[in-house]
Amino acid sequence: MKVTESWLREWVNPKQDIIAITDLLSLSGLEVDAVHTLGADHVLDINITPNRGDCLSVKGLARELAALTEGDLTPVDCAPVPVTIDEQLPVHLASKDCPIYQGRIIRGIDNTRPTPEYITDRLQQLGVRSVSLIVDLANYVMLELGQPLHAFDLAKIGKKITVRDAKAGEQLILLDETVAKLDERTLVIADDEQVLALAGVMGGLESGVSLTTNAIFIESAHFLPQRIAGKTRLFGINSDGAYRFERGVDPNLIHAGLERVSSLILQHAGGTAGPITQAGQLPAPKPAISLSLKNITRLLGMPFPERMVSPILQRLGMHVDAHAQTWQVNSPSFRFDIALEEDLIEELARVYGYHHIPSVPPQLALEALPVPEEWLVPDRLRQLLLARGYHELITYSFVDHAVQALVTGSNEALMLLNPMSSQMDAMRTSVLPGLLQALCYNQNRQQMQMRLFEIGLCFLSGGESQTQFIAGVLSSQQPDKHWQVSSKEANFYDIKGDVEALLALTGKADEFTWQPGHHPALHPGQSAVLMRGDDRLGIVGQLHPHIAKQLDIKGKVFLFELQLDGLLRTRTPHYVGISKFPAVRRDLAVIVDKTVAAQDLCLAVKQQATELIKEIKIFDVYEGKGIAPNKKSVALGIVLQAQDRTLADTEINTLMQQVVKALEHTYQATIRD
Amino acid sequence: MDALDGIIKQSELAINAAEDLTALDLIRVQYLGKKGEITALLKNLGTLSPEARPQFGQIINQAKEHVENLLTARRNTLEVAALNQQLQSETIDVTLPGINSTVGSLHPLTRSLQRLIEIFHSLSFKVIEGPEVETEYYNFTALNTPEHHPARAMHDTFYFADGRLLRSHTSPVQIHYMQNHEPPFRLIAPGRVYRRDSDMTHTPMFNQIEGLLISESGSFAELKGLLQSVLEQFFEKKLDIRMRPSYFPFTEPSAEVDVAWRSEDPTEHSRIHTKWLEILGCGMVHPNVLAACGIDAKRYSGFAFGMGLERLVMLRYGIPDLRLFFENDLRFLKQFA
Repeated sequence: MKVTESWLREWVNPKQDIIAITDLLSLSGLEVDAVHTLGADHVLDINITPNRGDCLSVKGLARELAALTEGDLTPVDCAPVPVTIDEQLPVHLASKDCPIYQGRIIRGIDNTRPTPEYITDRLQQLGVRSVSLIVDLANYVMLELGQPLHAFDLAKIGKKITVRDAKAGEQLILLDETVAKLDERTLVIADDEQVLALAGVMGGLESGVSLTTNAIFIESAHFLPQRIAGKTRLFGINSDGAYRFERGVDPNLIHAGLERVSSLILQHAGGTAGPITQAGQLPAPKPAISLSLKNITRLLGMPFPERMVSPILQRLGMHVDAHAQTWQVNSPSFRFDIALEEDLIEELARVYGYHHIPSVPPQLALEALPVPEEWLVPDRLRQLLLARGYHELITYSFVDHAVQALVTGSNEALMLLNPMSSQMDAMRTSVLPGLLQALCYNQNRQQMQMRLFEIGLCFLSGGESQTQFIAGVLSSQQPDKHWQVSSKEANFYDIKGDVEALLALTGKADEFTWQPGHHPALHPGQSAVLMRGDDRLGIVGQLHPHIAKQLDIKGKVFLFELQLDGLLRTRTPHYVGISKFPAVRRDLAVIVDKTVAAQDLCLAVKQQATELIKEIKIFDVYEGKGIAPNKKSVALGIVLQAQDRTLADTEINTLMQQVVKALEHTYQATIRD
Repeated sequence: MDALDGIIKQSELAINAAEDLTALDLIRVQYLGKKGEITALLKNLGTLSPEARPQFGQIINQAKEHVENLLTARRNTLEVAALNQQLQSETIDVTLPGINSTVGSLHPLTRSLQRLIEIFHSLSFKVIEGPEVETEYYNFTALNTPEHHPARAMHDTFYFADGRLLRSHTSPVQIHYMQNHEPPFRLIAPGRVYRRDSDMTHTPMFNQIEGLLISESGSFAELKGLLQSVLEQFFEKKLDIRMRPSYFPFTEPSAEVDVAWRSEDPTEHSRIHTKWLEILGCGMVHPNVLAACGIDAKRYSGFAFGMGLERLVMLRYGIPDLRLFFENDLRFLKQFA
């Protein structure tokens, strides 16, 4: 809501200057967003919160300012205009959502006359477009008093006004030429034949006033907020009237509003006025609210000065019946936001000044918080990745569905109904699209070496499952040359090592296994699936060059994505005795088919003596000269140790023969000399 | 015994002249080896009369010991010299860069969130999480914001076809928690929130930290006290903080909190320029919200607050543009290693 200082001062003229007034308003809940200088005058742009519909007028703001400065209001004249004709239009209220309705006929007006300059100026200063004399005057009174008014062209409406629910199938072309298709949710103003206006929202184009209009029926009515709420959104329109009605307009304003606009019309457009027709009654006053000093003190956490309670509430227009440390309070009809004792306490605190309320430390028993050791704190994963050179990113949770489909190989995603743009239209089912786009963004800014990761929610199965994932990407285009260590291009095993380090943090690395993967976005020969038991935990691999190209990514990119929960399950360590006996290492090189997985070889070895074999290290893999083309040589270092004895050579030799036999049997392995 | 004196003198000269350990060893063999000159004298003792043997034996053994000592001393000297020479030859340029020294960086929002969590942990606040795809009930209705309430328009919300939405604030987490726990409680719920807004000062996704304290004594004065101390620890300085009345459907009374911030912008002509910057919204939990969660509002009261994490981090690190957080430019991120 905008207001000019000069207009405000016509209503209440405190001694404070504009800066002091601005502060006062801001610190009591009417936040002044901006003050613009306009010659000697100022325009205040005030952010009126939805609970303070009573402040959406000059009168309302002045009333608030008067209460804050203990000043007096100078109201405008709303005395009845002379009634010189006796023509009336009967009004029938067929909905309780319009408790009271007034209207009158004014004949003989000239709508071609210009709107007085002071009025067009004020309309413009407050952000309302000038339309025609009658419309301008109605808008002026709305800004001045807060009562939305509507003028019908008397020649274009029937002989009776009804306020009723719309019927399904009815439609109305609105003043802004929007076609509103109606149903019973919407309250309308109608004559016997057709709908004339959306009650409290907007009039119809056909029944509206035009320059040739010479007789009008002017409406001043009260509509319940909950019945008007949401209608502008429903029809996709803007309406200053609806904005006010859905926040609550004082029902006691309708008479003053109607007389005030009548007076301005007679003065500026001429004409003669008929008597006011009224249908319905003013709503019953709201019941009194009990207020106690005890509850004020409890909620605010300070001893509130008892003597200030009645004066503050009275200044705000409340009727107060004071007893010993308790009060019975009736709030005025313009305050739609006062229903509970807490609402009154807020009024007290607000006028008393939030800054006068002390700061005290919260009083609550000390409580030790749970620190479950069987769950890894995700920050440990972050720290590990940081130590390995990863930068943490935060990317948007909504992505371009086309990019996501490309990266995940699936079109399935929870789609936003009202996305910011088509580049942000789908909830992510994977962190990777965001990471890859960030990678591309940085490649375009000369970043050649990148390790990036993100932890965040993904939205799977149409958003039924909201699951945390951790994902990383690695790009090493033109590896950095170190003065001593020879640089090598990154490969699959670089990122796999990073993932294995994460797995090691769980203390249960041996629960995880790897399988060759088939992921549409990954290199078919360089992708792996990480399993924990039968659970598929995630993927590791090289981005398919074909997809990299489509994403404008240069060079090879390696990536991983894992379900976070699957990584966080860890264990409370339990001490195992350290063997006092020496460990022995035996090396074994076997030649097997290229297709035999190293993991399977190790497993086969381990099975021969799960207790004694402490570790199996793969220290060489060789293909090429001396080895048949479809074969490879794998060299295993097997570390053996017993808890209770020094292993004898004979025992070790027997075991090794057993190992060799098993490998020969299962994988047709031959020993390489 | 003149011969012995001569041998000692010669050996002394030879030992002192030895330039390396090999030469020294040859000298040891020459005098003390099986066929060495001193060894030979000892062997000769047998030819002497029994009376003379002890005396000569003692003299020769002393001479042997003397030569051995000289040999050891010389060996030590040569060894130290050899080591020094080796070390000298191994001298490197210690200013050359080490191997594998790159580290990554924590996103500045995570970095600051961790500090805030630590501050709240020190006050016994639990950290909880909630879903980001929410229902209207949790995002609005249970927070005293029924359908068509004008306050719903305060947040331009992202919707899905089935009526669900992206949470527009972290407050729904309060409801989930309060429905399933008995007061008193203290908690914070950090996380992403979404509003359909994008310009210089808005991104369609940002982060909030929701806070909630419900107890038998929770008061507005305690809310002020808590926020003052948390913010001062976060910024590591005394702060001027002011509360302004505001409106949220789910708190009553409601407030917005501003901090007085001195502009350090050098373009402002070194004018001291203090502005009030809005950093969070808060208030006493509305009785209707407590009632919707089955909490007796006569017995318990408390407060809730929602901090905009980005705003706090921008002030803390002097970041001028909100959008930097989500552009993920490495030149930006690397500043927060």
